[in-house]
Amino acid sequence: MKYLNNKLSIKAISVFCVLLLYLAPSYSDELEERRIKISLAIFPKIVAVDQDLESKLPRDNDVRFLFVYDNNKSRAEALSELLKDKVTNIAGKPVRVVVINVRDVSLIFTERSAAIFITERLDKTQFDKIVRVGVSEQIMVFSPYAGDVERGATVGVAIGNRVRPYFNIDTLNASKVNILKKLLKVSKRYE
Amino acid sequence: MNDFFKRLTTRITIAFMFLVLIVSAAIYYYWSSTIVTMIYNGEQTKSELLVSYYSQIFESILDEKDAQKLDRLTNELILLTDEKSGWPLITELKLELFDGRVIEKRNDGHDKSGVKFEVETPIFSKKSQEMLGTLQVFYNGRFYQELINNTRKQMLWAIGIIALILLLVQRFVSGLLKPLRIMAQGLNVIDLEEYHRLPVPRKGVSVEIQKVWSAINAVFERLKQRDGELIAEHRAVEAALRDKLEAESASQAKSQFLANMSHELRTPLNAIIGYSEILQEEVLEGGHEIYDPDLRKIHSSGKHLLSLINDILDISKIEAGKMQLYIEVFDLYQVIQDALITVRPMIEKNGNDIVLRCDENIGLMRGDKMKVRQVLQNILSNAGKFTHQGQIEMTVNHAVGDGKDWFNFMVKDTGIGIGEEQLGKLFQAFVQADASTTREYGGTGLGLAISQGFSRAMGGEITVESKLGIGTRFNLRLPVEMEGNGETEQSVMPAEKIQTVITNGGVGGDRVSGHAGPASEKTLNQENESRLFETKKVRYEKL
Ligand SMILES: Nc1ncnc2c1ncn2[C@@H]1O[C@H](COP(=O)(O)OP(=O)(O)OP(=O)(O)O)[C@@H](O)[C@H]1O
Ligand SMILES: [Mg+2]
Repeated sequence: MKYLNNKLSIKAISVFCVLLLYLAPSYSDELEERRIKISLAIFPKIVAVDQDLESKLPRDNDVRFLFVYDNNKSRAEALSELLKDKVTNIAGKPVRVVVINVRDVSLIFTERSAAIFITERLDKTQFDKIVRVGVSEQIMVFSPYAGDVERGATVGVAIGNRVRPYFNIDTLNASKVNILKKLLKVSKRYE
Repeated sequence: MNDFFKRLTTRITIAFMFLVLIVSAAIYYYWSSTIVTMIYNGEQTKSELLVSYYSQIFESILDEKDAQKLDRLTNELILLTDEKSGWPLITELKLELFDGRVIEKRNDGHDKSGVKFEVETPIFSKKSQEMLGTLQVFYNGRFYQELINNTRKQMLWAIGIIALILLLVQRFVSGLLKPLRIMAQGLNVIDLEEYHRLPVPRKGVSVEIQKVWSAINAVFERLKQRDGELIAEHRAVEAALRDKLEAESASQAKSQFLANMSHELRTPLNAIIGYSEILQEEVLEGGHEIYDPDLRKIHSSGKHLLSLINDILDISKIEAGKMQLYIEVFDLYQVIQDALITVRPMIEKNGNDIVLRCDENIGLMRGDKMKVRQVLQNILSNAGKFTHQGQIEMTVNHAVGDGKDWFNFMVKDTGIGIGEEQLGKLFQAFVQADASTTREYGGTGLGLAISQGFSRAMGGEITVESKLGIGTRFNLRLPVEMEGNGETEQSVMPAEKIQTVITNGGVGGDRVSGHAGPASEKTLNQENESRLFETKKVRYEKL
């Protein structure tokens, strides 16, 4: 009887554990989701302070963002829709979002883009590749994911008492993106 | 000063001082490292939250380009006040726009802290996403200062209270030791004559100390008791000593009296003896033989009485410590012969054989010749008196012992012997082995006491061994050369002046003329020497 009870309780515990494992990522997903939404609000503002934004516009003068994904295209598309709903223009210039697979991002762009937005957690090779593209194209790579600025993304968000832009100074300098000094001063920096 | 640091109270005080210091340091460290940063971060957070909230409002207003609204908002921000203290939340704000507009406002009338929490945030356009400028806000540092002051005050209070508590504990612990101090003081002033008790311990004193207290009092109690016993004992000893001294002086007085009496008695007695002799001669010459036996009795009784008086005189002198010695150098063999001649009649009377083992040339002796003879006569006459139909042996030899030359005399008889009980008392005056001895053998019991007294005066000793019914052995040892001084040599004992004539058989006394003067002694020797060697009953053995 006691043995049976033990067995039952073990079962109960293991079920609970499995449930936790199942629920835990969904909770952190939710946090990440919020983070991404905050990032989506800040992202265009940061692009707006790029002093050389004019030169990064294609012929049609659209502000073109690359929304990079790896596996989840629909999510990337949903995010792009979300951005487009809120932000129609940047300094009067229309916003265009290109959703693109990370594998399709080549080192040489046929069309100029203003900035790259990472919509998914990328593995190291893919991530590094995107950072390299940002540097060579002299545009910002924005990642909403925590820890990405530290591993090379040009900019992200720092959420503390308040939400602040978070710059990786090395990448910023390497990509020669000219950010308004006043913003840099009030932002968090990774050096 | 050295003593100061050895005191328990001092050590406790120092320990508590250390404790206070350590606790204070710990509290201060906690306050400065944790509390202060916590307060700082809290204030920083408040300021940042405030600024982010207002930056949102500014962003929504700035797109409208409504100057009045902007002014109202900045006023609102600068007027924000803490309801409790009435202090402004923001002392200074600066809205700096890239289009050239700058709005600066101050409200730092109350802020004297100097501490400022500066927050600067970008302002973006909601429409164009462009950055319009920055909002810089200085959050009132007075809150921080106030909190710091308050917590510092609290910390100081805490330290103070802890110090106070420790002080009280220290007082308490020292208080525990106070009874010990009182006890030490009490012990210092204790008068051992009086045996004061320690003062009664106060009520709060701990059980342990009370125990020590009562243990000390118990020791006093025992000391007192012991002292009482000692005093009683001392008094008893004192009393005994006094009694003894009194008894001794009484005995000395008695001896003195006896000595005087004996001397006084001898004068008339000598007259009686002398006249009885004269009468005897006259009676014989006159042919009145009928009176001769009576006169003889008078004469011999007188002689016996004289010898008794002499004995008493001797023993009195010994006991009074007034005995004197006449020291000279003489031939010991001669003296032994003299003694033998004197005691011979008595020995023969009881049918005893006598053997002398002595070298004719045994040598010279330095001492009181008359006393040596008297001692030998006493011992020999005892042997003769208490032995019947037996054997008496006298052995004399020369020996070395205790770093001195000695003459050893051994007188052995096969007589009645002496009971063990009596052996110890033998040399006391007036002691006889048995009360019946007096009846059967007569005598006074002075002989051995006198002999021992003489022997000791000459540096010698008499010892005795005996078995009842088997026999007795007296050992006498005398130094060959007696140590003495001229003074003793000059003195002549009064007794020695007395002329005595040897007589055999008295009323009961065993001794015969122990007090023969030198003059009479010579005649005795000349008279008897030849007779001695004729006697068959005395055997001489050469050693
Ligand atoms: N040789 C002996 N054998 C047995 N008893 C002895 C002998 N010599 C002494 N005593 C005992 O010791 C006693 C004491 O002897 P001591 O010569 O002092 O006295 P006394 O002979 O009795 O009397 P005194 O000698 O005065 O006439 C004697 O009475 C006797 O009992
Ligand atoms: Mg005798």
